[in-house]
Amino acid sequence: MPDADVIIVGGGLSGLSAAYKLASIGRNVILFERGEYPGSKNVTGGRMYLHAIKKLLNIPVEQMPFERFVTREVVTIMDEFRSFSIELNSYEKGKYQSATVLRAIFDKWFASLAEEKGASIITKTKVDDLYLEDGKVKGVIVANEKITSNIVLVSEGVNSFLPLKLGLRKEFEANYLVTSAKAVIELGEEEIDKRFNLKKGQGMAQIFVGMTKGVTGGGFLYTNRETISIGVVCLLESLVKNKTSIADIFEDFIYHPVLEKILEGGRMLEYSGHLIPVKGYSMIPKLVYDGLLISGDAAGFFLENGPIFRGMDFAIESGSLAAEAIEKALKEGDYSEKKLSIYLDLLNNSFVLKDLKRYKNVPKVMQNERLYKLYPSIINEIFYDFFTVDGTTKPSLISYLKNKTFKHINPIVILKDIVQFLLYS
Amino acid sequence: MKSLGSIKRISLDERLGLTSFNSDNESHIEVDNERCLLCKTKACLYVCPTKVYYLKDNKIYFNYQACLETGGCIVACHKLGNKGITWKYPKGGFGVIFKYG
Ligand SMILES: Cc1cc2nc3c(=O)[nH]c(=O)nc-3n(C[C@H](O)[C@H](O)[C@H](O)COP(=O)(O)OP(=O)(O)OC[C@H]3O[C@@H](n4cnc5c(N)ncnc54)[C@H](O)[C@@H]3O)c2cc1C
Ligand code: SF4
Repeated sequence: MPDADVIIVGGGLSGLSAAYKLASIGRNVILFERGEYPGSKNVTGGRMYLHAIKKLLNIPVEQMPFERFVTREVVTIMDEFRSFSIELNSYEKGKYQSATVLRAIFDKWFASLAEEKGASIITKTKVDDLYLEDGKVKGVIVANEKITSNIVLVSEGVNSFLPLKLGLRKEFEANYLVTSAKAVIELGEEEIDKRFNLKKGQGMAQIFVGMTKGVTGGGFLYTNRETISIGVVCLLESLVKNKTSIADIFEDFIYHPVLEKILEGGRMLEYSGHLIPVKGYSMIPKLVYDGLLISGDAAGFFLENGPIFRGMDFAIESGSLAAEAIEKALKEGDYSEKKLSIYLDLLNNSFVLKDLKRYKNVPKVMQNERLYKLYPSIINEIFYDFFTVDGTTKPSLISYLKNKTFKHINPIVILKDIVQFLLYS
Repeated sequence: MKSLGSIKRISLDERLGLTSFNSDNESHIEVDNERCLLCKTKACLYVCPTKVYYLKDNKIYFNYQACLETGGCIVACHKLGNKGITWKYPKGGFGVIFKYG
């Protein structure tokens, strides 16, 4: 007899979703988490789109430990001295799509729910390797000891070391990954309501471009209940190419004049960092193997589409679909790759693979360096000049573009970028 | 309204002081400086949010206790540098402990 029906590697949202679901139907589940507690190694921007967690848990979202429900979306395009913003406010009551979240708090809570259902969550324990018998996965190795199970679910997050060792994915290239630097800054609940024009419980999500010194990437600001999450994300490859440190980009960003009044008087509570898998559909590994499945970030399930960042809803949904597939395999006592491939069917029929396929060319659009410096400065210049009244008479728009904008860039290139954007986004 | 502290220019060291760690006395990072000597890009210097790696007298030094465990350095070093870094997660229970995340 194996030690458990299922072993889960990693107590992030994906592993916890699977543990919750399997334990709820009475399966014997052991989840290993290397951190002090679930959530202690996990960082997000961020805001969670709520559809997946709503489906999984039978609890009103208002009772989950979210920070604020997002009602205000802002995109800010910056250059060194200026900023230009687009903003969407939604005043419809009770119709929230997403909520801001702090993962050390949320994941800990989620883990306690899974434990209530009967899952064994073993923290401070790192899985060092998979345990194989006759080429089939039969468990894991922890501190030189083998612990066996019928099926292992790998939900170990973005670094995805175990699938690499087993040959299920290729090595990452430096343009597959974005790294981040983030701080949580305390401002107080009322102060946040005031500074961001929010009602109690409502939140804002703001994305910034043009503040990364030409590095492919951007900034974010999410309002939590009493704090804000603020940070930058940058493509590894582009940081190295531009010889610019993410730590310095972060520092210059939070002291940019655009943020001066917003952050004034705030008290920084924590500084953090984490990777994000951004290559989309083309970086997905082989997802099933004899006795093994992969879910969440470990499977490369992340989608970036302009200001929209989605990893958490993918992590939750793929974790619960993995649990469904695992339950079917356990019922039939067949843990082969062939049987476990029901997971692929489930993923293909869900938004997880549908969306990742639909947006598979978006990384190409997003990795265009012109988006991060040239276009932000052009946009700011155009709007600045548009709003300028200084007693001189302005030229016609066309001669303005000809004499100013097209000096920075050939209009054909702009046209090409627009076409690419329309085709791929 | 309760009084709020100041956010005046916080250095990286001060930022790091805000984050909790349970540091192992053994390092989870190793660097082979023979490889670094021949490395043209020094990729490790740019991708780490806490600047764990730094260059002094032509040698790469590192402060493993400041590691936030992103794992970005391995990919940057192995794909764009000269493969000087060996890196694994700290032992279970060790390393960074995010309170907010
Ligand atoms: C800066 C930033 C901003 C983001 N913004 C958003 C956003 O706004 N919205 C959104 O939806 N997504 C966002 N994401 C993405 C989102 O955070 C991830 O997609 C999501 O956290 C993935 O969940 P997961 O459970 O797959 O992985 P993780 O949350 O990383 O969980 C993996 C777990 O496995 C554990 N582990 C790893 N290896 C081992 C091992 N060997 N043994 C035992 N345990 C192990 C880890 O400690 C961790 O707890 C953002 C990410 C970042 C970094
Ligand atoms: S990138 Fe790697 S090989 Fe190059 S200097 Fe840094 S550690 Fe050494």
